[in-house]
Order: sequence, then C-alpha cells, then structure tokens
Amino acid sequence: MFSRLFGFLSADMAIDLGTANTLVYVKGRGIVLNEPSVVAIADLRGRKQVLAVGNEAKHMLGRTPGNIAAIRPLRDGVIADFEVAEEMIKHFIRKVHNRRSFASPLIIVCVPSGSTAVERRAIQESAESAGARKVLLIEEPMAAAIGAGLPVTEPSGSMVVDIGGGTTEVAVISLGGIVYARSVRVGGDKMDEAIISYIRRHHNLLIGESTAERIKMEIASAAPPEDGGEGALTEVKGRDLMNGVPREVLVSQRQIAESLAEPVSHIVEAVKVALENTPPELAADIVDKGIVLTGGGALLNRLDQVLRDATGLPVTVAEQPLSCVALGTGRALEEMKRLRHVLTSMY
Amino acid sequence: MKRPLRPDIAAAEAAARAGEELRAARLALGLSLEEVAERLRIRRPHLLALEEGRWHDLPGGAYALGFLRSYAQGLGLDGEAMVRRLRDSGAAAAARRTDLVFPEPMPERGVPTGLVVLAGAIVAISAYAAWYTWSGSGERVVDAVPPLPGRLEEVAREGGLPAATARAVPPPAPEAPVAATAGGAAQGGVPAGPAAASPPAPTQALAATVPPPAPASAPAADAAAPAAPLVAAAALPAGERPAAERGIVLRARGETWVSVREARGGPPLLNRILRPGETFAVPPREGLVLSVGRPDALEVVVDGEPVPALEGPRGRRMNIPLDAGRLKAANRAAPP
Repeated sequence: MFSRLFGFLSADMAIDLGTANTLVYVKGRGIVLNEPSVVAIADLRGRKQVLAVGNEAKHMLGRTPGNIAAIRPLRDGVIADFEVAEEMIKHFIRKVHNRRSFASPLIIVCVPSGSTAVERRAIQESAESAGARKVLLIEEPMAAAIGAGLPVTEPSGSMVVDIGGGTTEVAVISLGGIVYARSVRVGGDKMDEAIISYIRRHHNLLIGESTAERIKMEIASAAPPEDGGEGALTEVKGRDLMNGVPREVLVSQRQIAESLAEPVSHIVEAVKVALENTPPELAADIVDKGIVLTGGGALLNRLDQVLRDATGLPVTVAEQPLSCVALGTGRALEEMKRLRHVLTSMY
Repeated sequence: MKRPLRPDIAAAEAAARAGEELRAARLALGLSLEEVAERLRIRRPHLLALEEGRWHDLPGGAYALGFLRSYAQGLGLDGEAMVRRLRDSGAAAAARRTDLVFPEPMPERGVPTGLVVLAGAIVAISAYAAWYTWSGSGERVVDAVPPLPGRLEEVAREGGLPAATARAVPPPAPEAPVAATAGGAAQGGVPAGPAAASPPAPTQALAATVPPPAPASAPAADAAAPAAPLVAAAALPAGERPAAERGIVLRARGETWVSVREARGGPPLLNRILRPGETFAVPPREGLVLSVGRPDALEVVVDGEPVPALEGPRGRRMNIPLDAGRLKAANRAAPP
C-alpha cells in the first residue's frame, strides 16, 4: 500500500541490465546512467559491504587485494550472483533518485529471449527486492528492435541481431511479436576470452579482461584487413608465462581478427539458423530490408561485412547500437499503454 | 541566405543533395549501380531511390538511414555525417520515430458493456421513482389502519348507551380538545376508540383499564387527529348536557356532513360525516366557520344551551361564523 503511495514520488525506470553495461532510462528524462555492471565488495571483518559500483568498481576489476572482490554479477546475460545484482540495482535506483528515500519506482527490465523461467524470476525478484514497486520484463530482441526504430508492429518481417556482452540475440519480429528468436551465449565477453587465449598461445603472455577489452575496442575486426597486410598495431602489456615477468608485445589487427574468428563464426551461425527457421513470407521481407545489428558487438569493425557476405543480405548497423536496448525498453515505459503487449511479468 | 523553408521542402532538398553526393562519389569511383548493389547487398531500386532522393520508396524506419550510411561508407564517404545532416534537415524525422501501433483484437459484437450498465441503472432508477410517486399518493398512514370490526363497533355502541350518564367529555384543554364519540373514533380506524370511558362505567368492555378522562384522551388523539387531542365519548342522549361544558359544541341529530375550518383558509379542523349522536367540541378560537350538509340534522350548543344558528331553509349551509357571543345573542333575540 505504501509502495503505491511512494510511487508518486518515484520516477519510473527502464533498466537494460546487461552483462557488460547497465543502462538506466528514466521516464521523461531519457538515458541517465550508463555504467559497467561491476560491483566491488569489501570484506570488513566478516561483514560484506559494497565498496563501489559501476565505473569506479570497473577500475578495480582484476586489481583487488584479498579482502576486496570486484564482481560482475551477470554472466551470459543472466544473474549469476543474486545478492550482488540486487545491491547493484539498489545502487542505481538510489543514484537515479538522488539518494532520496522511499523511492519505489516501476521498473521495466529486459531479459534475454533465451533465458529460462528461473533466470527471469531471478531478475524480477532482485529488482523487486531492490525496491521496485512493480517489475515488468521485456525480451531483449524486442527492446532492441524498438530502440533501433524498426517498424516492429507492421505485418512485415524485421530481423534484429543484438550482440551484447554475454549473449547474442537473433530475432525475427512481425506484428509486434517475436516470430523466431535464438539466443547464443556468445558476445563481448567471449571475444575478450578469445583474445586472451590467443595472446597466451601465440605470445606466451597472460593479459587481463580489461586489457583484452581495450584491445577489442581499439583494433579488433571481424575480418582480416582486405589489403592482406597486418593492419593497425597496438601494444599489449601482461605477464610473460615463460619467465613470469611483465612484458609488452605488439599485436596486429590481423592477429586479433584471427582470434575472433571463432566467436564471430558462432554469431554468423546463429543468424543463419534463424534465417533457416524464418517463415518464407517474412524471409522475403528480410531480403528486401535486411538485418539490423545492435548492441556493443555491432561496433566490431567489419562485422556487418562478414554477415553480409555470409548471408547475402543487406546488413546495417543501428544508430547508437550501445543504447538501443535501453532506448527500446524506455520507449516501452513511455508508451506503456500502447506497448503493453510486449511486457510480461513472472507473476 | 537564411530564408525559412517549409520543413518538407527543406527535407526533400537535403535528401536530393545527399543523393547527388552519393551519385557523384559512385561515378568518381567508376562503379555502376549493379556493382554497388552486389557489394553492399542493397537492392538496386533502393540505391536508385537513395540517389534520386525518393525517400518514400525506401523501407521505413531505421532501414532507410541504415542504407544511406552503408552506401556512403561503401563509397568512402562519411556516412555518419551524411546521416546527421539529413536528420537535422528533418527528412528522417518521420523515419526516426516509427509509430508503433499494435494490432488490437476486434471488439466483440453487440452493445458495449458500459452502455448496458448505464441503461440498466437508468431503468432501475426510473422504476423506483415511479413506484415512489404513484404508490404514495392519496394514502395516509391513518387509512392504512384497518377499520374497527363490526362486532367491536356494536359492542362499543351497546356499552356506550348505558354509560351515557358518565360522560367522558373532558374539560376543554387549552390546546384544542376534540371530543368525538366512540363511533367517530372507530370510523377513524382506532380499535381502542372507546378508551375514554370513565371508571364509573366498568361494564364498558374496551375501556376498563383506562384512567380518568384527561390522560385517557391521549392514545385516541394519536390516531385520528395528531394536532388536537380527540376524546372519544359515549354518545350522549339528546337533552342531557354536561354542566361543565363550555364553548360551542356541535351535536349531530342525524347523519350529516360537517366541516369546521378557519375562515382564512387552511386545513379543516373537521371535515367528515357525523353520525347521529356524535358531538364535536369546537376549539375556542377566533375566525372559525361551519359548513353543514343537512342543517336540520345538526344542533349547535353554546355553553350548554342549544342555539338556533342553523334554523332557516333546508339544504346546505356554508360558512356560518362560529362566534359564541353572536350565537348566544341570536338565541336571546329569538327564543325558541
């Protein structure tokens, strides 16, 4: 009863609870928060306390002493650490409400289309115990398609590929519903891991996740340079596996593209499978309009070209691919009456 | 040259300019539309529409902007800048914000539920109003009381005549005492009409427990005339007059309609048919008038003396002023 009363004091929110980044959209204000999904927890004489959340905590990732743990509470698009995820959502809610007490907003959270009922319930419950008045869920591909500005409610097929931190969602959408969706647990994280293992194998150098992510953002490409050269170079610092001392090596774009071949092929495979399972009428629409890429993975150089060559379809990258899901979830919040069909609840 | 343009014209101009730019870049690279279509996998009609600025022939929403960006980047131009320019001009304003209208289920046939509920409420309210209006008219509470059964009426009459010596007409109360016979009260529907019978007449079946006159008048009063205490009295035989009787008393010799009311108007104090032997004590009030149907069947008694107020022609007499002084004066002027 009180939560309803306090609802007037709270700004309703849409949260893109991503494996890598969490974006918060506040009704009437747009995206107000975009921070890494990382929580640093300190163990102070047996009592666990949140030390930092978001950007601050990300800098601690991989650099913590024994009593501090920098945790990413989400893995593969779903909650891996329930309590920490709850703390993180609580922190974001407070931050958005300027630490005002009694905030109990309506929250729309997006979930991967491939997530199980247990995983969805976990997300919903952690948002509820973080102080939400009501929690609604939206499927990530639908949110991404709405956020990318696709005409999802028309009787015409649209294919969206959302490459997030933990999962890649491929979906065919028509008439406001998902006709076919496929979720593979390949995303930015898997690319980082691929880069780490490649550099360990070929350079005998051990690097951390943050370094791998930096390499990916700087020079990574889905395909080797067209001119057959090495492409751009970047310095990579890590620990030498042979003699255990820190060392620096130079890696080229070609090498990184080689390392990413496996995760990229998984994504291509997922798109192909989705196309195979698309009803023929919608397939015809997709031939006309093509595939839209969203999510951080869409920023990978020449991924659109790889997909174009693999499928023979026009592939375009959405505007602001990183915030498409948050924008779509936010639009569902703004136009909740009209878009209520895409919102679900586990209760 | 900052001439304000209509938004759609500005948008069309921007789209056409972007198309020109694309075509120039393509021709500079020496590529045909087919070659570009093969490389970018964008269908040739769409590329042509882009070059000619026919924005409406492109797939809606984000697709058109995506095609533009892909095409520009494929030709080595700055796709982002071009898209931004076009968006600023407003050409993509409609495309940017796709209208999402979800297919709604067809409404069920028939009258909408809300209308049905409203109609039902109106019918119910009007039915209640009609019942309230018509069922209440012309029916007072008194009428609802069942009349005295004939058996009891007979008992009252039989018991009343011998008890005549002990009359029950009380001294006139200051308010407005109305004395009526048992029969009169019974007509008003009060089964306990003869309740005012005095203690010296214990034979009277229905009044045994009632104490002497003044308090006994109360229960009867409730029934017949709430404003004025009405005392049921045993019928008095003609000629026997109570010594204490003062004021004007109307006594019926035969059945006659009698009405007593104020000359100014207002509700009548008495307006009914008096039975033979019934009396009515006129309240000592100024400005009362008497109307009577059969003057020969009514006797007017002033301070215990009959006055010839009603002598004259037969037939209905209306609005005779009930003024004790004048009636007595008339009596003295014309002794019987």
